[in-house]
Amino acid sequence: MRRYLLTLLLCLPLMLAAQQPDSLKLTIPEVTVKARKPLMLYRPTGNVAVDIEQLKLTPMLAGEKDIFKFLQLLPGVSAGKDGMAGLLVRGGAGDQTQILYDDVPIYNYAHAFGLLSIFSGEAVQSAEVAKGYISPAYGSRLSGLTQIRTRDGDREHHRQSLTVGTMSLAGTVDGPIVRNKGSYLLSARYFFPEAGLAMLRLPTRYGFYDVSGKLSYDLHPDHTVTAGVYSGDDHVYNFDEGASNGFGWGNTAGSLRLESRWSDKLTSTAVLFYSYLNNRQKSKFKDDDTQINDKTNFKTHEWGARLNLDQVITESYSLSYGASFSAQRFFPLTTRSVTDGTVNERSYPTQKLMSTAIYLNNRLNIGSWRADIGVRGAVYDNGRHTAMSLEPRAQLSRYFGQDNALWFSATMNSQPLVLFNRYYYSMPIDFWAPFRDNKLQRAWQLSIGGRTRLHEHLMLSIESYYKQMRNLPLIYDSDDFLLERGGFVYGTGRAFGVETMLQWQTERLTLTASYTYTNSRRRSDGVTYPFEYDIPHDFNIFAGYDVLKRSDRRHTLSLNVAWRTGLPYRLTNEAYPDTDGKPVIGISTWPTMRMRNYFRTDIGYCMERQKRNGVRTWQLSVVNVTNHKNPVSIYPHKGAYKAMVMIPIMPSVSYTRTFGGR
Amino acid sequence: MSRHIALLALMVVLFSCNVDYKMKHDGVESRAVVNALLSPQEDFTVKLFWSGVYSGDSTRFRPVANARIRLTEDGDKVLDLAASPDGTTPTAFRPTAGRSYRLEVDIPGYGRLSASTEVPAAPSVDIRSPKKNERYSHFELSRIETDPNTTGLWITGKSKVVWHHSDKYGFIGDTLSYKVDSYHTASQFVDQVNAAGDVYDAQDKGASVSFSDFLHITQENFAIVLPLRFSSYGGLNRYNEHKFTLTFTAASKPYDLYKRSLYKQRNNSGSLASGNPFIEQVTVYSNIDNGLGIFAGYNTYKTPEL
Repeated sequence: MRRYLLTLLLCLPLMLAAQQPDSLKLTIPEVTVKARKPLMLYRPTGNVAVDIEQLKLTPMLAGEKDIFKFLQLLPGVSAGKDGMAGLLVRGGAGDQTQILYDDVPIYNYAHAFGLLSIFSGEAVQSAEVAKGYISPAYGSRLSGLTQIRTRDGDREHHRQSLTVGTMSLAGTVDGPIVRNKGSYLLSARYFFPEAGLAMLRLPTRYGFYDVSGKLSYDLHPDHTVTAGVYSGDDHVYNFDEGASNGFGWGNTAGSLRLESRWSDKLTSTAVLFYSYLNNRQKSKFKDDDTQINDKTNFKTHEWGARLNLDQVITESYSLSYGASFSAQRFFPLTTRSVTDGTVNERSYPTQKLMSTAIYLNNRLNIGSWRADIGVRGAVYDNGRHTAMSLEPRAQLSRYFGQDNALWFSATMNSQPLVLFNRYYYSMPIDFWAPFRDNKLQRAWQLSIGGRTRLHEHLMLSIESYYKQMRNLPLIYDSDDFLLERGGFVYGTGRAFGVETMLQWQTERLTLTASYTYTNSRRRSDGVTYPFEYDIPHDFNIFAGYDVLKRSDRRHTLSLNVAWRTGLPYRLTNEAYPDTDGKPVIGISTWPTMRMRNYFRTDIGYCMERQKRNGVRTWQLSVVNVTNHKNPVSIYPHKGAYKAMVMIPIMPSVSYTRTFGGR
Repeated sequence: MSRHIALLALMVVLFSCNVDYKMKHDGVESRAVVNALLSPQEDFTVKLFWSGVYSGDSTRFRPVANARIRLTEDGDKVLDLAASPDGTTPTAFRPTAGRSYRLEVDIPGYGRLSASTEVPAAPSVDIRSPKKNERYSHFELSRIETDPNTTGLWITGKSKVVWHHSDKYGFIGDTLSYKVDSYHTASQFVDQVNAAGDVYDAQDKGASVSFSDFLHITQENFAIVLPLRFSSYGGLNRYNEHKFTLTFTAASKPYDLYKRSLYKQRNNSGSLASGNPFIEQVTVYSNIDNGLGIFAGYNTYKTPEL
């Protein structure tokens, strides 16, 4: 801020001189002053956005700019297990957070078995998480909403960038289609160690890729159309002469978006979208006598449309209203076998889910008060049952100047589908299923929060919440659940917590410290127990310091320290004999212990240099620099116990070179 | 094996590791455990023990010294006897296929344990061994017939090696029997619970997917899985021939759920879990009210030597 003021003061005499016709005309070079932004920004709605620009400055896992790892720094948001790309919000499960990528729902957002999110940092423009008040425009999840938007291509200059990380090779190109009228963006990423496995002719391969693209064009100064597409895939396979097997999963998503400004008081956004998740397993064999080709698929398709209108009625009153519709088809376990030309095929019954919703939100701005009062009405049909949900949502905010505010919100949400894992070759694959027995998952939440500037550089925010959930399908046998043979019970849940965050912000230093207290419980079969990812105490510190800051060079040192209570775990030291007298471990259906407490320190050093035709960035990271052994799973072994550690000390390096620019 | 190869490729990238872990536990309150399987091929035996603290494969369990066992068949009492103090109570009773059974065990000071099951009819199958190459024997299953009480079919087997020429492993006339520990098939109508990608010798095996210990076919796939082609290690070569006796076990629902969950737990613990960060915490199925263990019926058919 001081820098801005200083610039203004310096420029003022020049600006005044420029207004005097007889004065000498001076040409001054353009001065760009970049001050650090806070890592996290509280929106007026209470949503939290992260500063994407700082993504490249944070320590990276395997050299990947992963937006989800960044979002996990938010208080009230956790990854679940160490290193995973989950976004668990306020005691909710992974499927209770809706992930929208340019308004398209994404059903599997992880590469590498959950370690990396599918959203390449190269293409992301913004990311925002709603933990408490969720706009009535969105629904169908109980706990949270994460909106990720890809950036538009540059409308003036063509630009290219290439990133080589420890795991992947990523490239992005963007630029104008018609100068200042339309743009394109294409970004792609590939797990390049797969090529190494291929060159070594190893019989086992693993790999992933993703491609995203965006076209944006102004049909008219007031009407902009945008088309976006994403496709990504993970695959594991073994092969030999005449024989192969493998499995994989992938998403494809596309959207067409029309943003219109009909008048100063009326704007609209219309979106058509499609999302597709494919899990598959294949095996092939061929010799002189026999030819076998077997394939099993699980597919989820979703088509949908959303229309939103924002209308300013008076200076202090505005409306948002609209409707959304989506049709989902779930194709569980379609197995097709071709043996010497004989086809055997078995498909489990297709399941469907039709979701229709209308909503209205009233926004009042009166003096320092702001109120959002809305309602969402949704109808869900799974082909056997039709369930309705009326979800009132409200938030009241009071501002005390620009930096101080208090807010209170009350929301109701419902969820018509559930995520579960099925294991192939001992690795989990995601499956989704619509609601059963005419029971939607339902939740209500109250939250109260505020933020204040304690000092010129110091902001404090505190938020607490209480949430209750019911009709939660608690799945204890994924196979039975998938085959509709039971395998689950309905349970309830509740969670409450307090989230605090301090942000110290100077020109060179960003320091964010957060503490979250959570108490999240589930109840089923008359037993109350901690939720699988219940973390009572969660401390997190993020610091970024510009060691060198010049107009053409910037070096930033970053540090992330996390300490939290260990996760609940389903393991006991009870054993009992099986039919042969060998010990069976008495694993209950709910957690009976906690893993030891979690601690991790990550360090990053980012060196950015302006080159003649672009920018060069080196990013060095060491994740878990203290090599703390944080377990992700524990299992009995020869009378004792072993733990699996996913993220020991992990150094990585990435190099990014951009060409062209703005 | 290739499951581990696949994981290895991933883990090399991710640097993951296994470490010793010390667990803190509250004391365990012992629960009564009943294990009793009903099969027309075997005398009925009831095993009664207390659960204990896990100390490895050699964990010893205390027998239930004082208990009363009752068994009813279609509602009629067929057994009423005192349990043996050493925990294992043998009887001469053999069940009849197609009937329902209920077991009740009264333990003074603890209470009553109970469970019910049915005993399915023995399966009827057509199976042949169309070819044996030097390293593998191939089988083709072309017919399965079971009764409605059968929810799963388990294929296990034994192999007998007969030497007709001496080599460093045996002399002419020697025989060696062992339990078959892996099967190979490309069929995805076989339960994939124990499947692993394995391209080693795939051309000889006739498949690139291996199944450890058994092949399990669920009821809904009995018809569509046919013809099921599979193979197992051991064929016909200049020194010896492997002859196979396969056992087809028709499982009642509790037997099916118990065996499958037990396999999954074993596969997610011990050395099999090493290197796998995606371990499932599997609760072994039990149908015993007020206790642990299993009371379940099954029926078997053994093939002649193939």
